[in-house]
Amino acid sequence: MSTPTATPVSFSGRAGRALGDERMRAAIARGTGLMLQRRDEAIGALANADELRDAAAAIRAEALRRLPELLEQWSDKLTARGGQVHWAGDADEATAIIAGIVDRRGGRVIAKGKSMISEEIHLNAVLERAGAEVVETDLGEFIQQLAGEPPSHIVAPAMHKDRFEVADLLSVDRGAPVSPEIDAEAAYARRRLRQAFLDAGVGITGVNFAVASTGSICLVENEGNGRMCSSLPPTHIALMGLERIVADLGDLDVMLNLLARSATGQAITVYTNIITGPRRPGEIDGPEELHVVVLDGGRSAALGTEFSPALHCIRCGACLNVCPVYRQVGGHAYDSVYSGPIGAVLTPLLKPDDPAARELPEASSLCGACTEICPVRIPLHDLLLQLRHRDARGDASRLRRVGFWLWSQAWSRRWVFGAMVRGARVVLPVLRRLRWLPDIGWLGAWRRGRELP
Amino acid sequence: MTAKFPGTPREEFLGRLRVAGGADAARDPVTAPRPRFSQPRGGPDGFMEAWRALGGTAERVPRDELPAAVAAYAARRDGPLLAAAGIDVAADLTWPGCGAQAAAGAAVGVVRAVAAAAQTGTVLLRSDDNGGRAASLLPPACIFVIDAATVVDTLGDYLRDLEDLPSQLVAVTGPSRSADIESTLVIGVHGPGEVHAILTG
Repeated sequence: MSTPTATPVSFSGRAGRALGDERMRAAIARGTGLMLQRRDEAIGALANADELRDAAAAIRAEALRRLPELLEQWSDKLTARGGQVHWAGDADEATAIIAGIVDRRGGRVIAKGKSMISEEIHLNAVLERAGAEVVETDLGEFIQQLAGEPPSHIVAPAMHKDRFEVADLLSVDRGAPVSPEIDAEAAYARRRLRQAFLDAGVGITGVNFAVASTGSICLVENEGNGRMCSSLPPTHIALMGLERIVADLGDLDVMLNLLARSATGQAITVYTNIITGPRRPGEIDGPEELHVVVLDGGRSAALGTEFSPALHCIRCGACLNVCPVYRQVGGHAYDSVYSGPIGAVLTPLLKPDDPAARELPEASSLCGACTEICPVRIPLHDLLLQLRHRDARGDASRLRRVGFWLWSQAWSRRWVFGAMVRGARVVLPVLRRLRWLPDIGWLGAWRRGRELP
Repeated sequence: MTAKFPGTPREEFLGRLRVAGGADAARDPVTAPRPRFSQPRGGPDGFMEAWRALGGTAERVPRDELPAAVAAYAARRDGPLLAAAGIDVAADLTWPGCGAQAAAGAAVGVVRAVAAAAQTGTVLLRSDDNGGRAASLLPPACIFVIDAATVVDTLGDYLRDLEDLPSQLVAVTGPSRSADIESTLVIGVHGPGEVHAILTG
């Protein structure tokens, strides 16, 4: 359960608190372990997984290389099909656009599908201040909304909770006990949320991919709530990061073949919704209006830099599941919508002025498991290292900068490396006997997490 | 058209990207061969096998026995049968005439799929062809009627040939599911938890 104490401001403080939460850690260990196992089976069943990943990496890189042209083509096509495209430079613009549409289209109830980017811009808070009732309809997000917590995993938002905690939350919502059995909990959510779909004046969803050649958006999900939100209310608003674009349906097919396999171990999600405009004349149901809001939100600053591969991410969550740090501390320790290795890369890129975000690249052992598992081959641990380097360059501490430079020079030379290993063999037994490691400045923070070999 | 909304004009937004992405844009195109997803599981039999593996049920009947097959499935359930417009079977309710509240109260929906993909056990629904969106979404059980001749190998095989898309094209692969609580699979969270494929011809 959430504690009333204030969230610690440093990653190490939050991680320390998380390490003391045995219940949460057991849930995360179980959840990440199962997702990883299912992912390995699904990727392993492909005869040509490596080729597929090469193709996916090339598709994402090429989409970013042609980004302005593809977004222009996509928006022209979608507009020709009656969709309305809005461009938001930052979170404030995006929330103002969406609040404006909600205000004009009316309807107090908003049915919302799972969307990490809506968390990124704190959309619910803005809409609720304007008087709307926002109902999260993804089962995990619904649980998180009842708990008053942000998601802790980009694919499974309530992974850190067990069925008993979920039953407590649902029982409060119902005003009567809900049995702590998973089937009963899901059945309650189905009944409870059904009326929201029918009552909603506006449905809000995220976007997994936008297809330039057809002007489509593609939304993948397993429960059917995304399809409800985009089919039943008279207005559908979709929110996407500017990097979601792919060139055509062939590229989309490659991405779809990797996304679900990498995320949940399914060959494809239960619902793959490809939406190209609002309901057309002659169609008997569907939304009268479709609005797509394209958010920059700091993404363009990463374009054309060594960090642009971070924008290749398709949000499968595999790097969270495999990360030894995430598996120990869970998502909330990152204090960001995006946790795990990709979160530690994306957060400081999207929030360059936030000192807490700059600390996240330290939340890694640089073991490289994230890079190895990434379906679109983002060199995550290299990017983490480069972010640390960039941070050190901007750091006031000359000593630290010179120290890292000397370190990198030494490790790039075989003879120095060999000498250091030989030296360590001599020094370590002495330190071990003294039970002492130097504790000076930031080296102290590094030392506290480690023991002498 | 979008001027009445706050936000950034498109040219300004894209202009920023052209400046920011200048270094990227100057690169040579990035290419890699597109692999085929080579696990052939062809035809109607392959589709039914994959569909059943997902937890669905399936049968294949001659075209003129479709109404009887639908009726037999619906008879096993307590509640009205909802038919999407354009499906020629006897039903208690017809979408969209019956309205959303009544549709939500139906026990079974029946819709026509435009195609199916054998490898993944996927049926394809078009908003301009299957008589709407709600009949395959609101009831707890759904029958998908598929012409056996329209079964392709993969979703990609269907997508790649498309010239123009309807306002909504949905690929449905098995019953609605979630693993959001303790990573444990539950069936039928929002969409239909029971899905039945009837292949004709």
